[in-house]
This record gives sequence, structure tokens and C-alpha cells, in this order.
Amino acid sequence: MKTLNRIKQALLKSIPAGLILLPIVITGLWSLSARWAWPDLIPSRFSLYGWKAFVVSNDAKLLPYSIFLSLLVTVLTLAISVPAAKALTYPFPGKSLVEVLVFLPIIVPTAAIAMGVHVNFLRLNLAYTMGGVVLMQIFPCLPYGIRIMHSVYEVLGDGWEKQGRILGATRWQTFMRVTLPLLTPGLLASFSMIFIVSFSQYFLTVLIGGGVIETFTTRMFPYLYSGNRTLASVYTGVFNLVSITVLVIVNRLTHKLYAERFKEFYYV
Amino acid sequence: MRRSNKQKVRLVLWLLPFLAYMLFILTVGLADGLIQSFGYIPSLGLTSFTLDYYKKVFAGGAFMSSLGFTLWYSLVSTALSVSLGVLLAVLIQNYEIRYLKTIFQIPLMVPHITAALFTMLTLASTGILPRLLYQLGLIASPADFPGFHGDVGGWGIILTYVWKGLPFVFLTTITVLEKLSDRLTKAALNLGANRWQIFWRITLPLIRPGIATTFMILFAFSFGAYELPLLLGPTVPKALAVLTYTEYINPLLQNRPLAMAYNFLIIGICMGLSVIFLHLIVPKDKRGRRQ
Repeated sequence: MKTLNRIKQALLKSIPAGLILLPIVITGLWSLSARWAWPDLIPSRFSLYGWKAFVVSNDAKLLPYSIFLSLLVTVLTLAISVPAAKALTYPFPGKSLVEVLVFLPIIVPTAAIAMGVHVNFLRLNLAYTMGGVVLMQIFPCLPYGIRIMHSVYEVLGDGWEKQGRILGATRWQTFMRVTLPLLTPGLLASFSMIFIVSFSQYFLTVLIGGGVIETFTTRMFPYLYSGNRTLASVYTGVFNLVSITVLVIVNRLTHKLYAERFKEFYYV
Repeated sequence: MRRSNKQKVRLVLWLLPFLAYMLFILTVGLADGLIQSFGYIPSLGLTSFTLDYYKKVFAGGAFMSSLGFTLWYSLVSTALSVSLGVLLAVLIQNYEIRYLKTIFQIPLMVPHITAALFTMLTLASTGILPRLLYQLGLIASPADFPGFHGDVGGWGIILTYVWKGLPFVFLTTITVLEKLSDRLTKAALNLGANRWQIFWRITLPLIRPGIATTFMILFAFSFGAYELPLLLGPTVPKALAVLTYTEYINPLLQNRPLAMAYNFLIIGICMGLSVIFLHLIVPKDKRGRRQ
């Protein structure tokens, strides 16, 4: 019975983990393969040609711009989200309406709204500009920012701030010494989540950017669509390396600054 | 305690950027589109309001078959993600699963188009799974395997959404389960309840609101999304978002009202169904309020 239980436990843990990791390993192998014909289980020839092709391509040069664009979206989204999340911890008339608005980008198909936005952005001279793309990308990012920051504020309450003020700190001192340090872990968690949501956007960027404003993701798409498995795998690899780098930097910062306290806010 | 005017002003200022942004996007995103869907686009010489385009949507078969297909894969993938995710969380909640939780965060970080590539490389007719089956002598050629890439059943799309959705449901559920005190469960055990009774009568009611939210999020996303069905779906029937975009970029600008009519039907259906699901899944409390 005990062994049976142990086998059950091992299976329940390893099968889901395996199903998640297997495709990632396969994609890694594809990115390094020069020849991988049916029905081989591993490539018959390995090579770095896919990676080399990427490094010398224009798409590699696009990467810093693309990261910059997503960072801009992230900072702007946070700038909107943080005060709104703070406000949502207080009662006020019409609060439930605002809560519905926060949820709206999740339940209204973004693609459908984006086509309407595109028509008007053409008129406002925002279509095919970086500003237009950034403005549009904030939309799907907002629920993440507000909901994560809202749970952070809920956990914190405003007792600490009040305590600071009572002890004689000025408003500025309270913000710098009390509020900001308490918020930082949550801020960093939502930062990485929003960055990834923005960096993943394909449809909105193609529609509003119209081929004038391109990001790494819009350049990656044709390789997936055409089925060039090696290059598609290389691009996917680069994409995930960027995401992981951002996550690691953010995680390091969090750990450096604070203990592991806000783990559950990684997802909405 | 009455709040001072100063505090009220501060509250408004905090909300202002968010409200201004949403008002802007929703106005430019919805208002014009709605007018255009009634066939009013002066710049194209269309100056009369008409319901013709909505009638056309339902008269032609393309929209209805796309709607059926889209509903099929979003409902099946969401139902699978939610039921399997909750089941897994309940089954392994008492094990040591720190590593599994870290691994389960990967699909949340991976974008849908990357997940689509994963499906192509593993489940398409020359992917790793049919290769494995061939090596085991179970199939003789790629043609014997129902490749989940462009299949009319939408299973490639469904399995990819489950790959991304199940871990999301699992992590949300396990977080709630860990926060729940085990006093109720212990009391029930003491009173002679078996494991199924505990699950149905105690655990499930407690995690139901969370399940409802994840169900809605996953359904609404898969119903309206463009990327996955474009990459993994069949040519016919197209997913609704793909069909709409095809009409939208049609060089015949007269098709623009049709695309906008599609868009509003998609928004309406998606929001309507989301609200219905929420009402079905979340029970009302005694005062008639939803939790």
C-alpha cells in the first residue's frame, strides 16, 4: 500500500511536469538541428546555423528596440495601475463600475476592439507609430497591473503609513521609507508579468504598427507560420531567453531587497 | 467617519489616469466601429444606416460555422483546463510540490505563439509523438497519425490552450487550497465523510468563486484570440477572429461594415457568455450577493 501510494505520488508529479518540459526540450533540439528526418527521435546532424543566421540578421538588431518598447509599455501601465489599485482599496460611489472596467480587457476580445481603434488611430495619426502601438498594448496589460497591485495593497493596508506619519515622518519620508519598500516586491512581480504580456503581443502590434513598427514577436511569426522548424525554434529560444533574463533580473532584485513574500502575485 | 474633501480629490486623481485611458480606448475602439457596422462610412460613400450587414452575417454560412467552431474549441479547452487543473490540485495538495509549482509557472510566461510551435513540434503528423509511436511499431507512417495541426476538430488548438490553461488553474486553485484551513475537512473526516464527499461538499464550494473567475478568463481569451487558431486551426472553418480580420483587410472596402458587424457580435457573445458562466458557477449568498 505504501509503495503503491509512492508510485501514485511520483506519477502525479512527474507526468504533468514531463508534459510541460518535453516540448521545451524538443524545441531546444530543433533549434540546434541541421537534419532531423522522420522517424528519428533525435536530430541526425547538429549545427548552429539557425542561431548564426539569427545573430547576423536584422531581427537581432530589432531586439533592443523591441525590449525598449515593452519596457515603455510596462512603465506606463504601472504608472496607471498603481494609483488606480490604491484607490480601489477605499470605498467610493461607483466602485463596482470601476471594477468591471478593470476586468473588461480580459472578457472583451482585444482583437475586436483593436480593429475599431485602428480605424480611429489612422485618423489621429497614431496608426503606424510607436506611440500608437504602445498606447494599444497598454490595454491587455492593465488588468495584470491593477489586479496584482490591488492584492498587494489589500495585504498591506495603510496601517504602516499611518504609523509612519504618527511617528512624525513627513509625507515624502513616509513614501520613501515606508510605502515604497513595502510595495517593491509587488511592483517587481507585476513588472515582469506586464513585460511578458507586452513582449508577447502579435496581433495588436501588426494591426496598429502596420509593418512600420515591428517588434521581435512580429518578425518571429512568419517563421512559425511557414513551418521552418529550425528557425522558428531559434526565435522561440531567443524570445524565452529575453523573458527569462527579465524575470531573473527582477527576481534577483526582489530577493536582494526582500524575503520571499509575494510569490502568489505572479499570476492574476 | 466622513472623508474630507481633500481625500475625495485625491481618490479622483488616483483613478483619473485609468479612467481617462479606458474612456479613450473604448471610445475610439467601439463608437466608430458600431456606427460602421450599420453601414455608415461617409468616406466610402456609404451614408445610410442599415441592418443589412447584420442580416448578411446570419444569411451567409461562414459566420455561423466559424461561431460553432470557435465555441467548440474554447468551451472544450476551458472545460478541460479547469476540470483537470482543479483535479490535479486537489489530488496532490498534500505532497511536496515546490518544484512542480515552479515548472507550472513556465506555461504562464510562454506566449501563445510559442506554445503553438510546441504543439507543431510534438503533435503534428511528423512531430515527436508520432515518431515515438512509429518507433514502438504502433503506426506505419505519419499519415496514420491524426496530426493535431490544422485538424478540423480543432484539437491542436484545444491541446495548446490546455497546456497553457491547466497550469494557470492549478496554481490559482492550489494557492486557495493552501490558504484554506483544514479544520472543516478534519471535522468532516471525524463525522465519517469519505474523500469524495469532502471534495463535493466542502472543498469545491469553497474554491468555486476562484474556479468561476479562471473559467471566465480562459474562455473569453480563447474565444476572442487570433494567433493560435491562425497558426494551428484549419483553413475552413476559420476561427471568428481570423474570419473577421480576413474581412477587415479585404481590399474591397465595402466589406468593412461586415467586419465591424462581426466584431460587435463577437464582443456581445463573449461578454454575454462570460456573464452567464459567472452566474451559473458562482452561487449567491443569503443576501443574494455573489461572492
